[in-house]
Amino acid sequence: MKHNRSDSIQHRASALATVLILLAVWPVQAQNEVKSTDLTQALKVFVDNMNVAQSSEQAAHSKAAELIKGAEAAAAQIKDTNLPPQSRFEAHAKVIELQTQAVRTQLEAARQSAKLLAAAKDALHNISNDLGSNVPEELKGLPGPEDQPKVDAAVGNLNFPADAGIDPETAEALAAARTYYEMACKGAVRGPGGSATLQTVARRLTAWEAKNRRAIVLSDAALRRLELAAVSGLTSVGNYTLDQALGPQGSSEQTSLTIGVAPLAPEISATGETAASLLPAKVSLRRALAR
Amino acid sequence: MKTNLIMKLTLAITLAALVTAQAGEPQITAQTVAQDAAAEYKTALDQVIRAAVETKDQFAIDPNDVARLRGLEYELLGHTRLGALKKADLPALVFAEGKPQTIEEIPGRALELRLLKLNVNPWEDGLTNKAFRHSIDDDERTFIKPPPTNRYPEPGDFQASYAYGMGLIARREWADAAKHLTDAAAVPGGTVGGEWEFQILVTRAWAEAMAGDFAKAKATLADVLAREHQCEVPIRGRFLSRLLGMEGQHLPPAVQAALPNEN
Repeated sequence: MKHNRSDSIQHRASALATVLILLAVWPVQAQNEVKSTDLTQALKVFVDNMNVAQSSEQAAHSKAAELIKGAEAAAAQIKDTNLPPQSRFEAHAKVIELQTQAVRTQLEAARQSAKLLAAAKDALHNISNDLGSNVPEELKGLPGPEDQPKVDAAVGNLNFPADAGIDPETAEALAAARTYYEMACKGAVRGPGGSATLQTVARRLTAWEAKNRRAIVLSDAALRRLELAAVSGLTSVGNYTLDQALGPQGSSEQTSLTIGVAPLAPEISATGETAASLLPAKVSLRRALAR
Repeated sequence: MKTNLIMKLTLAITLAALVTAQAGEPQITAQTVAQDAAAEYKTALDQVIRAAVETKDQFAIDPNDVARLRGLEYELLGHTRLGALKKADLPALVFAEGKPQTIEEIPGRALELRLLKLNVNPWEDGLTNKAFRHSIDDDERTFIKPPPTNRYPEPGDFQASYAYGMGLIARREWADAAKHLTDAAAVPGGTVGGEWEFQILVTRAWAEAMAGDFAKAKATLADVLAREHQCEVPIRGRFLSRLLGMEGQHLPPAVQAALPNEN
């Protein structure tokens, strides 16, 4: 029992000591945040966002490919004149539905990617700032590196006596400072991105963003084309119904117009043949008057 | 067991005390060492300026000091390019920015650059857009400030001397400029209020300082401050008088910080 109490006291004392140490260490960490921690965090955000964007794009691409494959199978049925018109219209609607799903999948992924890439770009910018290499504004107006040899020559030409010399240590220190400056000039590249590696990554990220923007606009345009294709289907159904109600209009050719990836609905007459034009059939004046 | 516990507690408290003591110490970062270099550069340049101001003879500078200053300039420029020092915190670099033409010009150019960084132009005399009056044999005449020119002035033409003197200032020919500005301030009968002469003689004192002749600059400034003038002493004049050890001139804190330190 006594032993247990002693253990308990010892345990509490150890805990107290730990708390004391933690309390003492806390202000050090709070006041002097280690920069590499921020950098690691920014790097993590950058890599995570890129990875999520890439996997999201790949997943969307695979899903869209499956949907398009299904749409292609359904599209074959549209041209099959052996099938009843109803089935061909259903096939057309199926094609549009599958293609719309495919485009929407890619559009959603592209929209998501836009956010992720923007976050990755922000993180990259933070990394550049943390590394101190993203300082183009700071460099403006500084004496240029190319001017410094001229400055050195001018300093050497000041009206010192011809035999004026400096100590070897001073000469060494000057040479070391000059070398450091030249190294700094090579390391600090002008423009966003700072160092050469960061600049390359920034350029590639910018290219990805541009590609993503194009994907969003293309998907949007494809969706509008699919809407048009759906309207053409309605028109054809209307024509078909009207043909049946109004009787045969004579011979017409079967066509299947395709705008981009979205086929327009087949023009089908009551005789089982497609109409030549998407335009509403003109009604003869004479025929109208005959009614 | 108890002894062991006390030892552990003592150790923990000692550790805690050590860490707490360390927490108060400033951390050495790229920024702090860059600021140290900037401070070292200012101190080194201050010493050069002080030596120039206090010398009774011709100003001279040790080539080692020139090399040391130039080395520090390279270091500071490197620090700025690597983002450790903000451009706003970069001191005026007498060689990299100032490009002095002679040894004697080094201290004056350093002071001129420091003031220019604070938007105080030692050559801005405030005479623009002002009309000045003076009388010759009861004939009152009015004139305005002429623009700088390269045309050599006729003897006794104080306005032309001013124009030529300011042209020499622009060409940084200090000794000749000081001579012509003396002529420019020699207005027959003197101007009403004396601002023309006052400002021109302040400019002359600055030209003498730029030529490295601080003793002459001090004499000129003492003379000009003793003159009757119906205008405020400009900051450029107050700065120069404080530099030359003439008390009684108030300076804004930022401008005062541009003065060389005593040590």
